[in-house]
Amino acid sequence: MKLSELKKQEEAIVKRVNATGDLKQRLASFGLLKGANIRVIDFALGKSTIEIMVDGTLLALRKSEAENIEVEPKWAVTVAK
Amino acid sequence: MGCNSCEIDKKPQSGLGAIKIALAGQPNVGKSMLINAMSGGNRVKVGNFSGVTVDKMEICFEHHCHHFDLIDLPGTYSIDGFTQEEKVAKDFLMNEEYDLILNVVDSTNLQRNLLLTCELLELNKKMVVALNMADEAKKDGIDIDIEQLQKILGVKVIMVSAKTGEGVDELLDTMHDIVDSGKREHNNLIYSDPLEEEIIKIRKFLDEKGFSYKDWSNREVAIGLLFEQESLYKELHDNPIMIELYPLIRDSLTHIYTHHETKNIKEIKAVEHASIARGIALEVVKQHSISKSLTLTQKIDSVLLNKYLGIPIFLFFMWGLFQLTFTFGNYPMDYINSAIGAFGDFVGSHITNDNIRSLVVDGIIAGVGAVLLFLPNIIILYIGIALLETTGYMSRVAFLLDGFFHKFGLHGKSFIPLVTGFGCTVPAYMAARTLKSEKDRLITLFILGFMSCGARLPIYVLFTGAFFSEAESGNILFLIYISGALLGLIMAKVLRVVVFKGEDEPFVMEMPKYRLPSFKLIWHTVYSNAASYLNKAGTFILLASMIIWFSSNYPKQPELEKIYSVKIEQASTKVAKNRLATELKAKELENSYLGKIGKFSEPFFAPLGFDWRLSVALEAGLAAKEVVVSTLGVLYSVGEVDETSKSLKDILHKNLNIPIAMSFIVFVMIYLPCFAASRVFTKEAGGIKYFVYLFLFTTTTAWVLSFITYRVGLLIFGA
Repeated sequence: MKLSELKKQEEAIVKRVNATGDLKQRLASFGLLKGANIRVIDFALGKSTIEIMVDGTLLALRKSEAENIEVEPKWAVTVAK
Repeated sequence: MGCNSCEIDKKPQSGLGAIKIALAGQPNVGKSMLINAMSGGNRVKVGNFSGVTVDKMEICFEHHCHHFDLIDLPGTYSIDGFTQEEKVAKDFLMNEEYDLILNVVDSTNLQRNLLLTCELLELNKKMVVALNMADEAKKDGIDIDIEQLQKILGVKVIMVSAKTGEGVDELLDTMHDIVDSGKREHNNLIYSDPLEEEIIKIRKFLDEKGFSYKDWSNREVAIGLLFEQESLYKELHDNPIMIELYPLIRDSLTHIYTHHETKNIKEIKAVEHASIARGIALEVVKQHSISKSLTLTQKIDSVLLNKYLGIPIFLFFMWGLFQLTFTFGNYPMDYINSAIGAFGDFVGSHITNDNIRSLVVDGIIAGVGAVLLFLPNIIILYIGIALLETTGYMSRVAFLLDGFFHKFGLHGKSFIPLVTGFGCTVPAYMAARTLKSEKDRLITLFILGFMSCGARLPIYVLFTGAFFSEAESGNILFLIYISGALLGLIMAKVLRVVVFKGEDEPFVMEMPKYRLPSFKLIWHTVYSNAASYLNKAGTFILLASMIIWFSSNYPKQPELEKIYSVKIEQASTKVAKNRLATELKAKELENSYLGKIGKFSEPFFAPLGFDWRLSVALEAGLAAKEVVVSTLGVLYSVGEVDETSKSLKDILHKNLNIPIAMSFIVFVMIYLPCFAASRVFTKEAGGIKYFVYLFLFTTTTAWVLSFITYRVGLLIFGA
């Protein structure tokens, strides 16, 4: 599942960050990499920008960036167990 | 490096020498506030370094008779990245001489801050970690086990609060003690098992060879080698041990690559640091209650970032700021204006030499005074912008506007300089530094001039007043500002498609917690910005005023003067005498350097409907837009005028027509802002080359659009 497909207030764990170079580095410096806990806080008008919480940090992302982040929703984890 | 107060005795190890500290930390950790707290009132700001676009700042102060020389590096989330700020910080940390790194950390967000701390530790320099915002952490119910954190990191950790002053003395004493003690604590970080295995392998080999490098431990050398630290490889390049090391390293890296499923060492580093940071946070941070400040932030965000309310609220704030800027700013303006006038008269009455008096009063005082006039507006605008910045609202606006701006090829953050541009283009160019991507920054710099600055207002007022009724003028004024902004957006799109092609800058931004603004910090920001506005603009305007004065007064024409003085004497009535005097002035002007330039460039402006007077006014306006109105006044021979002067309006009305006026307004709206702004642009964009581009870009656009306006105007209104 993509980060951009999550709904408001849904929590998830990052599985994979499909980015390279600069962007990957930037995301990593905010702690947004494999294994990070995230929660979707809000969307801007038209879902063009997404606000998420990554381990205690509030972060804003564009939809195009969020589409490159694969996540596993927390409810999926509980169901699987 | 120009730190005068600290150069008294600059031997770092001796008791009284200046201790050079590199201050590093992520953005929004309260670095500036900590600097204020450490230096107290004795802060000496030494000014900026030569960094092209992003500055490091040097600050000197004394504490218990020890000199501290603080290098404030730009706030960065990492020092491994590609942005300019990160490069500036990394270059300094890797290549410059300093005694100690002071890593400022936000206690309320330890985990993410530790990512940078890990990178800094791997530089193997003396270091102290300051856990800032201790008071906020307490309020949020966060408890940090300092002892344990010190053990894990291997460096001194001190709890401080820049706000309350808690721990600041201890921090200064500790830094001093650590610099004095010769020994450096070694990097203690424990990496993942697969990486540790390889580190140990290489360290063992180095131990067996009896290898040693600087004050590094062999473990640190091993880490540096595995993380491909370039400077280390450069220095070890000629060392024979490398022949044996290379296969070992290659082998180890292969293992690490397999484990991490990537060959990108930077990525591996990031993952390692992230898990170390997570581990440390789990071990040393105890959160007793839900973070109040974070929940509060989310509550505020739910209103300010509301899908439907967010943008209207922002527009309201902006409207309020402009109202304040223009209405409040106008009160002191009148006083300043009359004070400058009185000062000019006073000085004028004490200078006997006509030429010198004219230079000082008409040239220098009038020119510099025009700039002083705008200081109140600028201060209000700066307070507003400082408030936006320190409270954390700025990032929210970028979030709100990114979707819209992105369509025009701009970045959400561009709004900050664009808004500033309505006040004055000079600080706006500087505000563009907040943009990380070079392309976004350049596009923003190029279109910033289209945001009509305060200094263009007098011209608009004069021309709309001359040709339109009062009721119409207001709307036309509004139209001018809006169309300038829209033109800017369209041009941004054009530049993005034609010139600055390529990948879009990703939008990844921290939304810092809302914080109450600190009065001291705002005061410092506003004060230093206002001071530099006065200093820099003052010097440029001074020079420009003198040039304009000189070229409109020289060469002198004694013969012409003689003829007219005879004529004036012969004239019978006072009216006739005055008429002759203004005629003389006009003739003199026509033959002055300025007049000659105007005549020379007239053909270029003729298709737009401008005569040589309008041409020269536009050229003078390259120095500063304030000069346009006064130049027009001089050229149309009515002496000193300001924008409300009825006679200049009437003369313009008589001499020009609506199409010319519209064409003139359009040209003023688009072409280069002023000399000071041009200088700042050249510096910010990174070279004279860009200034040439900007000049061609704005002049061409201005010419073409004025031409269209003039021709269309002629069709509608007739000549």
